[in-house]
This record gives sequence, C-alpha cells and structure tokens, in this order.
Amino acid sequence: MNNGPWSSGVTKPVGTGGRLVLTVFFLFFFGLGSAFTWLVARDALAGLRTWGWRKTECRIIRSAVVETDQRGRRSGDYFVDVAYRYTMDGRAYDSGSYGLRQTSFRDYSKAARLAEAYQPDANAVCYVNPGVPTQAVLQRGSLLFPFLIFFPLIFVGIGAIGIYSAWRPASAMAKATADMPISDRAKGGLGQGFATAFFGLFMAVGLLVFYLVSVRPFAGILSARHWPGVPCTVISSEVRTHRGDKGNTYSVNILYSYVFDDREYKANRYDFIGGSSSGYDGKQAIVNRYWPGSKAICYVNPNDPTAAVLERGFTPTMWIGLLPLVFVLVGFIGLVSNIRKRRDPMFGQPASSAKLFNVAAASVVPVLEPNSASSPLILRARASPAGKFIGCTIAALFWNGIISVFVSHLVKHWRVGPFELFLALFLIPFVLIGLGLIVAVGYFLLAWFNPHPQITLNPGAPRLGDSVRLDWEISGRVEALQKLQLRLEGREEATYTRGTRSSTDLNIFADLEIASTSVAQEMRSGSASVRIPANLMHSFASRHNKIVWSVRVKGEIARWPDLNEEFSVSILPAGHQTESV
Amino acid sequence: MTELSIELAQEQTAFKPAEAVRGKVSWTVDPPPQFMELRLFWFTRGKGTEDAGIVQTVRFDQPLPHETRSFEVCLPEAPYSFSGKLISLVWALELVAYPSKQVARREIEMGPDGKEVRIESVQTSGLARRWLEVRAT
Amino acid sequence: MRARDNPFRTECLQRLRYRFAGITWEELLGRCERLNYRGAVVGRCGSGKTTLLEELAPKLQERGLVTRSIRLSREQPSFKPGFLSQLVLKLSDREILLLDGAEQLSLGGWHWFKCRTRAAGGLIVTTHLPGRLPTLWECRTSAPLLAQLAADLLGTEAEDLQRQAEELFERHRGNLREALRECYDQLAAESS
Repeated sequence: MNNGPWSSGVTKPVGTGGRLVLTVFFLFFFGLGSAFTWLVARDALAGLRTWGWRKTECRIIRSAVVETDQRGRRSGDYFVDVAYRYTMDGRAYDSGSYGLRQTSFRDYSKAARLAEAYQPDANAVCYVNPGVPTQAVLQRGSLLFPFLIFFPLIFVGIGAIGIYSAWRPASAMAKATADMPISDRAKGGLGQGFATAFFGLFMAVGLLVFYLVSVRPFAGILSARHWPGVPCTVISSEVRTHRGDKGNTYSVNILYSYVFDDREYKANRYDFIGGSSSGYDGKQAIVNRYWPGSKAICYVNPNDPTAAVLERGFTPTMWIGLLPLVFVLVGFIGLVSNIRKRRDPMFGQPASSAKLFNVAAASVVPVLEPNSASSPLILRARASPAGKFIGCTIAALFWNGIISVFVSHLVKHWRVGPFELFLALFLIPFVLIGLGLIVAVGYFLLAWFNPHPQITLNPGAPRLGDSVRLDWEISGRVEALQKLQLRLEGREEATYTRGTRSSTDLNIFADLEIASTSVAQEMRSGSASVRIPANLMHSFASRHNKIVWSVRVKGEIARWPDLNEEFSVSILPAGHQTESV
Repeated sequence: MTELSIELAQEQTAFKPAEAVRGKVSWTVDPPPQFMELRLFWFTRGKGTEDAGIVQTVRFDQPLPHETRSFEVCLPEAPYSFSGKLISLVWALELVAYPSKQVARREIEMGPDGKEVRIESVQTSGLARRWLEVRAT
Repeated sequence: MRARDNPFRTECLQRLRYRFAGITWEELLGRCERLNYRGAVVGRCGSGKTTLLEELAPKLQERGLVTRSIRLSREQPSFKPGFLSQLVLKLSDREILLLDGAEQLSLGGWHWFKCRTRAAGGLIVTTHLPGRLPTLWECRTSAPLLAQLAADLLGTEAEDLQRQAEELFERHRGNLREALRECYDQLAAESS
C-alpha cells in the first residue's frame, strides 16, 4: 500500500460530459488569468515605452495636494495636482500628468512630499512622446512593474494544464496484481523540491508581511522617540470603510495641520501601523477624540517635516503585527525539516575544513570522501541547550503574547462590568499551556547553564572493528559535576505507520562504556579509546528503519537538571568505501 | 501460463561486499512481455514499516515468450544484511515481467563473512530502558 | 529470533484479512450500494478500519467500479497544496474515493473536501467516531478475535492463546494493532 496521501488504483478515462465540464471550469481560470495578463502587459508596455520618450526641460506652473481626482471624484485618498509647461520643436505645450496614470495616496504626507518636489516656477525634467507631443510625463513607467505579469500567468498555466489534462488520451495502466514486486516500494526523493519551495515561499511571504506590519512600524516608533511635539489643528476626521471580499475593514483618517520652522504642513497619519482592520468601534472612539477644529499635539520628524504622527507609541492593534510570525515559523520549520531529510543527520562538523562525507540525497549509508579517512571530527549534539532554550522562549513569548491580549481584555472588562465567565473558562487551558511554557523556559534556562561538552572523534569516520579515540572538553560549570559518564550506544529504530498513527520503537544492541569518572580534572577534559566491535552493524538510515550510533554524555549534578547530551556518530562498514549505495 | 525463475551461479547465496552476483534468469510468459527487468535491491522486515532500495537494474529488451538470459550485477559495500530484534535487512534479486508485473524473487545474504550480521538486545537497567523507549505519534 | 522471522512482523500483520462477525462481504457491498457508496467505517484505533478499507477496494473493483485511495495521518493531517485540485481533475461518477483518516480533517476541512469531491461516484471514509457520513460498518474488537489473529500468525489454535489474548486485550483497551505489536516484543524477548 502506498503510504502517501495520493495513491491511484485502476483508472478509466473521464467521459465527454466530464471533459466538457472540466474544460469550462478551467476556461474560467484561463480566461481570468488571460484578462489580467493582458491588462498588466498593456500597462507594462505603455510604461516601458515612456523610456523611449524625449527628455525635455519644463517649468512647473502649479503643484498642490488635492482631495479629488482628475475627474473631480472624492474617494478619501489624496492626489497631487501638478501642471507644467514645456517646448517641443518650437511649440509650447502644457501638461498635468505626473505619470501615465494618476496616483492616489492614502498618506497625505507622501502626496505632500511629491508636491514639494515640484515647486511652482521651478525647472524640472519631463519626458515627451515624440510621436504625440501633447503627451508628457514627469515620471516614467516602473521597470519592476512588468514582472507582475507572472502572477496572472499562473492562472493561465493552471487553466491551460487543466484543459490539456482533460482532453489528453489516458495512459494504459497495468492492473494491480496481488503479488507485487517488493522492490516497487523503493522510492526516490519525490516532492522534496516542491515542499522546500513551498515552505520557502511561505516563510518569505511571512517575513515580508512581518516586516511591513511589525518591523517597519516598530522602527518608526523608535525613531519618533526624539521627534518634537508640535501643536496641531484637526481639519477633518472620519472612519473610512474599505470594502473587501470577506467583509469591511476600517481605518482612521484624521487630517491635521501644524506649523514647523515657520511653515505650514498637513498630515493624516495617526500611528505607525496604519492600514485597515476590522473593529469599527475602536476607530470611531479615536475619531471622536479628534473632532474638526480641535487642538492636539502631533510629533514631527525634524529631518522631514512633512512626516508627522499623532500617536507615536505602541497601540493595542500592533499585536496583530505578530501574526505573520506564525507563517514564518511554519515556513521555517517546514523548510528545516525538508532540508534535514536530504541530509544524513548523523554527521558532525569536521575538525578540519575538509569535508568528510559525501551525502547523496538517497544514501542510506554514510559514504566517506576520498583522502579523509583519518580526519578527526567534532561531534555535533543532536539538540543544543541554546536551541532548546531559544525555541522554547520564542514559543512561550508568542503564545503568551497572544493569550495576554485576551486575559487583559478579560481583566479590563471585569473592572467596568460583569465578569465574563465563559471567556474565562475558555481561556483556562490556553493559560495553563502558557504557564507550562514559562516553566519549560525556566528549565531550559537552567539547563543552558549546565556544563557543555565538546567531543572530538579520531578518526572522525570509524569503521566497524576500529579503535577510536574520544577527546572531551567540558566548558561551563564543570565544578557542579559529581560524575561524568561517556558511553557509545548503538540502537535500532523502527517506525511503524499504519492508519493514522505512527510509533517508533528502539532497541539498544550495543552499550559500551568509554569513560566514567568522578575526578574533577578528568571530567574537565580527557581522552579515552573504545574498540567498535567488528561483528555489529554499521550506521544505516532508511525512511522507517535506522541503525543509529551515538555517544551519550551523562553528568550528574545535584539539585539541578543533569547534563544529558547525545552526539550522533557515523560508523562505517568495515573495508574501503569507494562509491555510494 | 507464467513462470519466472532466477538461478545463481553455483547456487551461491552468500556474498561479501562489492562481490559480483552471477546467474541466469528464465521465463515463460504468455502473452509475451514487453520487457523484463532484474533488480538488485535490499528491503527491511520487522517491526517497522518496510523500506526498500534498488541498487542496480538490468533490463532485458525484446524478450521472447520463453527465454533464458545471463546476468551479472555487483553488490555495493553496504548496507550489510543484518537481523536484530526490530529490523532485518534482506538483499534480494527480483525478476519482473512488464506490463503484467509478475515477479520472481531470490534472497541472498551480504556481509563481511558472507553472512548476515546478527545483533542482539543489550540488557540495560529498567530505568535506562524507560529512559530510552520512545513512542512518537 | 531474527526480526525477519518474527511471526508478528509488519509484513505478516499487513497480510491479515479483516474478520467479519455477523455479515458477509456480499451483505456489506449491498449496504454500500444502498447508501449510494457514501458511508463511514467507524471504529477506535487498532480495530481494523484501514484493513477493511484496503480489502473493500478490490471488492468494489470487481463490481466494475474504480477506486482511488487517500490516506491522512497525524503526521499529515491535511492535504498537500494542490492535491485536491489534482484529485478533482480526474474524478468521474464511476470512481469511489476511499479516504483513510477522515477524522484528521477539521470540520471545515471535511466539508470542503466533501464539497470538492461531490462529483465522485462515492466516498467511503474511516473515522473514529460516527457522524461525518452514514455508518457503513462499525469495527469492533474482542479478545477472542485477538486470539484468532495471533493463532493464525503463529500457526496454532486460538484456544491455546485465549488467556494471553484477554490480558493483552485489556491492557491495550481493545487496540489490536498495539496488542499484536506487543506480541512481537514478547516473542523477540523470549527467544533472545
């Protein structure tokens, strides 16, 4: 039985009716994708053509921020109304186009900065269409915009592949027989590349969103700590509604004016996170505080007076900025586990720079690189104390950060109204998990201060029958150790997957003492040799079955978590290794 | 009627690493197969889900309905045949007829002494055994 | 005893056939048909749901139906991206989907899956609890059944193993898979 989520039995071709239905379905994707592709391509081409227009000097006639577009419509955004005069082939022309299309700005300051760049009566550069001299722009089309065409092309691809698949001839498949070859179970590394790309994209998107909604606002908050407070007057204030597929979101739009260095400016930024979100009441409460004509204090960037903000500290909505970390975490974990599957986990870090092992993606036995037989190897712990602590801390911060929002809401609400029993009961398991994580953080923190062993194996790639020397050095609080034991262990690991469950059994077949001491100096550093029995099994790893060799370091510490670390070791088959399996 | 068989030279079934495996494959397949394939592979048996790995494949094209052909494949250095408490690793040859996928199999042993490696359990203390047993879901 | 010789090794467990009590295959297939091939095989862990579903596939194929098997697990509790779209691509009303592990899907995921695959001729799932689809068959275990399975694997009589089967059945709370895996350990330990 195929253990993956996809396993096909005997198949028959889809009927003509089914094919027609599929064709209509995928034509929708194809059509939609083609339409967007055409739109993007049209705009991209138009923008690229401006790079062939003639560069001409012009004079700015007018430049101001307005609240209506070129057709006189109000949308709540701001526009730059700019007009300029230029001469082409001896004739004078006027134009009001900044770019090929009029740009709208949600942030008044951005519009103001653009208007500021084109002062009336100042000289500027414009680009004139040589074929149509009445057409000119101040800003040529973006060179990055054409790359957006790849997104609608994905839908075109899905549609085309779907239509082709519906109509292509079905391939003949052999009927499954009861006695199938066992060797058919051998599989290559299918899907690894796709999974890696998927998780990589997941993480990249999460990082990008995290940067936009968390890092950038946080950077703004930090920089605004030294911005001077300036009196301002509210010109207008409203809650803007943004219609979306899954419902409306809302944003605060407060336009205010202020004077800085004897010059009047306007801005509409409330806080650094910006954007829109659900929750109308909170935003209405903010707007109610800043009614038209009211006075307030805004904080102005002394290096760029067009940039100002009313609330320069943290606001409750900023917790939302942590949510993209979920995507980053999922993508990171998926990426790491996929990459680790490609590598044999039993390799350590070479003591020298020479690479010891050549790891083929499908290798089940470690393969030695030529000329590296005698190189010592610094073993890598299977899980580092720092890694455990950091991982647990991130999990605890993330979990408790989110839960604390709900707990603080519960407490605040309780102060002004009745106690929300249902919410409290609902939160109990989550709070308990959060407390558990805090305890775990404490445990791993203590364990982090444990002594740290470094183990060097010589030779780094021992074979069955070899005598191998282990050098150890323990750093940190060695004086806390009462006893130190090093053992070489070999074990079978068999994973059984059936139905929806999976379980792994272990069986130790080799347990060799390398060293055991209670002498402080010997515990701090030492060396010992052990002979690997020749009649045992070398390291091996397939998908469900493994032979794992490891060095176990156990240090007893009174009234403290014991030192307990495991270092993976690769034991090679006896004899000379020349090629991979 | 279908009959597939694998004969090993001198009926040798015990091999050392990197040794060549020689023999003959015979088949009687009706209807005639498109092609035949001989695979040298290992597979696991025991308490875990079975895994397999093909090391070498020999393809016999344009096969007659009834035919005998010689083969020679080369074993790699590893993995050894072994048997423990939880896992056995077995080397084998399989002759597969396409497209019917009918199969004949012959098991062999590969190890340093030409035999499979036997590994036993170590008697650890009860505490250690509890410490080490893991059931992951 | 070598792992390959242990009569309770995985290969042998997976060859065990499902044992019906009080129903035949014909009757079960008739029930399938009456439910329009939309039903659930219900039972606790280790009660033989996966085994039954695997044996149901060739029985349905003998009736001229086409089957397509899917499996979810704790390690993979949802479908990989793009999987459902691929699946829907070739679905016809002659195809019966066999989903092992339907309880892994969330409620929303389950309804989405049902909606996307409604073009299929049938959907038979395994699940721990009834409710997602009409119950086609409820897998139940018993100590005598465990004794019978163990006896088949050992090539002995079930009566000889009744006492041990009862102990194992109670210890593993009816999970035959875990009980048989303990048999593996016991046999391996006895012979070493």
